[in-house]
Amino acid sequence: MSVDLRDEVVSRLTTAKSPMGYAALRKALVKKSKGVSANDLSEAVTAAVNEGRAFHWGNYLNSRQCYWHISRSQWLNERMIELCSEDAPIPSRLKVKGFTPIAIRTGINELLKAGTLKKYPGIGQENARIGRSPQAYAAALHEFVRTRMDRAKIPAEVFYAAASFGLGSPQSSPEPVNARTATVEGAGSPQLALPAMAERILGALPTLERPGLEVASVLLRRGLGIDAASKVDFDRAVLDLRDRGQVFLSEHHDPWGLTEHDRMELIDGGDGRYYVSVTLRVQS
Amino acid sequence: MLNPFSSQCAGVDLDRRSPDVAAINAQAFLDCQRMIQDVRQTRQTQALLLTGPPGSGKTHLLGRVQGWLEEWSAAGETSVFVPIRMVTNARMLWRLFREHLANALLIRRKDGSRCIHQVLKRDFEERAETSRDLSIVLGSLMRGERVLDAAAWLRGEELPQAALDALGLMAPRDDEQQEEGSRRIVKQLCQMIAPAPVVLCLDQLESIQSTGSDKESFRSFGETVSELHDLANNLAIISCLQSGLLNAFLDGVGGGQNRDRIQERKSALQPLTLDQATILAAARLDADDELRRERAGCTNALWPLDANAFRARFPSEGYLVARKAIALCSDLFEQWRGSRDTGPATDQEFLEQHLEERLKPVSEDESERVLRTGLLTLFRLRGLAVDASSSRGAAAIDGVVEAGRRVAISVCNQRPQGRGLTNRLRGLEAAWPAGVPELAIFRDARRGIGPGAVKAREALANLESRGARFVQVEHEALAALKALNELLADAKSGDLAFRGDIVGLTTVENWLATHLPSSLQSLLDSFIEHSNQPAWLPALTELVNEARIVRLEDASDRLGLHPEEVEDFVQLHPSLFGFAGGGIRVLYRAAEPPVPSPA
Repeated sequence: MSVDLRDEVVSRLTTAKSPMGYAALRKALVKKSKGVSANDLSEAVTAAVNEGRAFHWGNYLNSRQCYWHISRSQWLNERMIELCSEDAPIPSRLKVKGFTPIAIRTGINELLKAGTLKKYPGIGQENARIGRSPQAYAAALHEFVRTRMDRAKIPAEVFYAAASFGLGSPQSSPEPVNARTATVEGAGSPQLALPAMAERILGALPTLERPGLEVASVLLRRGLGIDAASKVDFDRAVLDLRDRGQVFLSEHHDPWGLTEHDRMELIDGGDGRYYVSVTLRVQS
Repeated sequence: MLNPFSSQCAGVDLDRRSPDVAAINAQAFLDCQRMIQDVRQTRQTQALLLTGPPGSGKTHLLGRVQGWLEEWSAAGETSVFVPIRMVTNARMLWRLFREHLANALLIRRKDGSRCIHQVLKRDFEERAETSRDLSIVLGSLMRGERVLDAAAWLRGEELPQAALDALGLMAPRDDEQQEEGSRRIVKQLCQMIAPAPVVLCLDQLESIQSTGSDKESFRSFGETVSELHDLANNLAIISCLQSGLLNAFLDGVGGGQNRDRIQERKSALQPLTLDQATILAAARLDADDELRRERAGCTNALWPLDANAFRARFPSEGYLVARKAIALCSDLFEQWRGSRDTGPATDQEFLEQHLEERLKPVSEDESERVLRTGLLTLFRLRGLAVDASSSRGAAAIDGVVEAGRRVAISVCNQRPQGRGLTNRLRGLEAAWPAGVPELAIFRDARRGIGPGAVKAREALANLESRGARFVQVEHEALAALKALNELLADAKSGDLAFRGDIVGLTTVENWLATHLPSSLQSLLDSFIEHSNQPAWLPALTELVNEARIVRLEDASDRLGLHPEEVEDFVQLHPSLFGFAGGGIRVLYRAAEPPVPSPA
């Protein structure tokens, strides 16, 4: 097998605008150097993959067995970082051609875990947004304000000028949210000390189901009138009740397969586990 | 010595082999017993929703119920136990119920007699409400005549015309009528079995969801169970659902009546406390004769397991689901005997092994369910956009796939004899969604449409003239699709566990997306390739077929195209055309030997 051919393959893949199927790669090489056999090409591609200079993409869009100079997951991550640099999109609406929603969701979760992307509060009814930096989120907020002001026929500059008088500096950058450490100040419902919250939960459970039956965490929270801002306290109180042997929690088997919105409805165990329901234990 | 903790029930079969500890989940078992007894006494159908986290023992509990009913039966109290794993398309629920009810009736008891002989009254042939065909089939089964064909009909399988004629039965009907027909058979059978209870155990309910956001399937299920409730007065319906989907399920099943009926009674499985897990482990150890002898008189209730290690590894919150507790014991047992684990080392190997284990032949009668349950999922795994809601209101269409252009998908697997296939194909003409340029009709390749099926062939030709295409699915692809359906169903239910840890649906889908069996890969490739074919392809094919060899420039002139466009296409499709470059660029039929290059 010729080293030149391997280099040529790598060079073609590096300059290609998108992953190349085997046939397209062969065609590109044939134009340059006549007489490349399928066998030689296969060996050259395999060697380049083994050396880490080319990556197998499997089936991509409508082509079979594609290759490129960058791995599928790395390219997806870079694409998502790019999409989240200028804007802070809603995770469930991110679309990348040729990738399944599951792959995109997995990629987002990895980038969030690594801290490359950060989570920001949703705007209006949205659950959350993700962005590369506070500036990206600011851009999303600005877009939101602009559309609202357009609808109200108020030029955005007029709004910002007015806001600077009454609402403080428009320059301040929003900070990412962390559900486990966020403090609740001035939130909709009064903040309860943990024991008080736990007592409310224990009081509410038997009114929703008899002991030994599961109560979906979302129904329990709604039943108690606990809003999103107090959810962190609710989660901690439930975990505390579990540790004290008063309730069982049912773990969700695939939390990372859920949408961001649905996962946030679950009880966050703080250790990567999420719980879907609470059962008042029958003390034997 | 076998590891007594190596068999872990995971939603595949009812677990009757591993020892049962009555004290574990006693309340849930009592709830099931009470409901069945109430159905018998009050002569009113009842339903119970049984929930629990994955691995908490739902399927094991159903095995316990089955054992109890067998004891009941030995004492002269008859009942019919019908376990159903809900791996199906939500539009085929009645057919699934019929098939499993028939299987339960046809099962042989310990004395060699079939359940049907014990539970059916002799007067069924005189009952006015019993349909003619059902009377014939039951009569045949009771007399032991033409049992194979009669049993197949009772299960809802399509029979060849000769078998139908021999039994004196009507020809099968089209898709919607088959559902309705199955509903009537279920109703009549249940009424005949009354007052003995029919215990319908609907396991792995989450499997009927085609995607995580699919509410339509839960709604169909809600309506079907509501109908079941009104169908007869001797049904005890146990619906098993994993806790994670409780909320979505109750939201999805629709209106108050459906919801109230499904959860008329409720029960939940509990995780094991340390004491319960210890009792379970001891019971499993004692189930092995050799171990039981050696354990006699031991002060450590868990010997040969290291009791300190068992306690240390038990979660600090003080409870664990049964499957995880058993996995922990299995690990400690292997440590004790110092053996090397020969099982899969990684998630990937585990999934490969599980997919392979599920690769089993699919019968012709199963293939419709396999295709209708799995095809859309398969397209989705390939990253194609799928719209299952496009099929609403048009039973003949299973969904619409975006594969270069929009393609409506329909599974037509009826036997060519009779009206079923013709009606289905004719129905497709009307059901073809507006704005969808293409229709793909999938069918088990073993079910050809022979020259005798004149009307079906005519209907197919009409559809093909409008742009429909006919995709025959080979049996290897069917087996792989069935295995894929089952693997995903287990993953949805949280019943796929590797060393006690659940392998989630996301992991399985991601793995499948890149590790599809080659038969499915080829099916997808040919489907996508066809969908991306340019509109001028038939004209080019005809031209090349006529001329055998044609200059590229001449062909592109005739088609009004740029030569490079044609060259790009033919180079990428060597299975369709041959191409020779050099001085003069020519196309030829792919089957022809290549033309020697001009000197």
